[in-house]
Amino acid sequence: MTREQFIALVTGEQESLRRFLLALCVGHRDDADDIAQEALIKAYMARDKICDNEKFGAWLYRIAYNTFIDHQRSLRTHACIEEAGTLMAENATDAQFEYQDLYAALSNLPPKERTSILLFYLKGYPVREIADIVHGSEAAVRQQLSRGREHLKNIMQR
Amino acid sequence: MNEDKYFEELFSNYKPTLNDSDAFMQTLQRRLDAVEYVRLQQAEQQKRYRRYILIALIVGMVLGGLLIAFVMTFSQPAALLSFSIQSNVIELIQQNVHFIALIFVLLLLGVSVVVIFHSMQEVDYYLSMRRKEKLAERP
Repeated sequence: MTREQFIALVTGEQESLRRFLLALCVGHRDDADDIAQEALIKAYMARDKICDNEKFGAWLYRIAYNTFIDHQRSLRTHACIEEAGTLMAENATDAQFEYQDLYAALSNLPPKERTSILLFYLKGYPVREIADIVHGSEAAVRQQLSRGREHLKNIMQR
Repeated sequence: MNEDKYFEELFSNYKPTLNDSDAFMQTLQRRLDAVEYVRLQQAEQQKRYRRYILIALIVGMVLGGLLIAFVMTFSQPAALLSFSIQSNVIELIQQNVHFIALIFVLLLLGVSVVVIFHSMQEVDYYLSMRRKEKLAERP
């Protein structure tokens, strides 16, 4: 895959990827964009490994998820996610404020449940593909979806 | 099913405004340029490294060959000192003094070639760092 082809594919996918990462980072824009950039660079460096351009999206989301997990391991990000609610209140515009409840609810889900929920409902990926992205079994993803739904519903209805 | 609909609706309405996409893509392009630059530098360094190894091999073989030929032309050295000691070890050393000297000199030569090769690499690294600094200083 040439650089031009890669850029063309990324241009079509970047907004969707950034929205997914924004939800995964519970509204922390800078972190989401940093992770998106890092994931895209990793994808660029490994672009020769992808043979099927139709699977580019799922492949990109797998890299983004791995990058998010790596990023989350760092103390800084961890602290940011825990403090997501306060951070959002501090620098949110009206439009960003709109999703504060959703971000606060998502921040209470473990990363795997959050990822499964977002990939399933936000991206519309089937369970099989989610299992591939998060390196888990289909049964585990079904369980994460079920638990995630329950957690999310309880938090949202509070 | 109702639960599923609730979540589908919840996420279908999720369309947050993002930071400027053009700026995001420009940043990405700049980073990709940097990645390409580093890759190019690494490839060049690898090429240089291979070239140095080849040079070191050729120099070692030529010098080693010349040295062997040179040592072989020596005649058996006459004993300068005699201690009147009868020892098989000393006799063996005396008979093979050319080869012992040859092994010693070849080892010395090998170490010298490695040291020269290492120094060349360090000089090369220093020069490439200087080049990078100059590039960074450019407005």
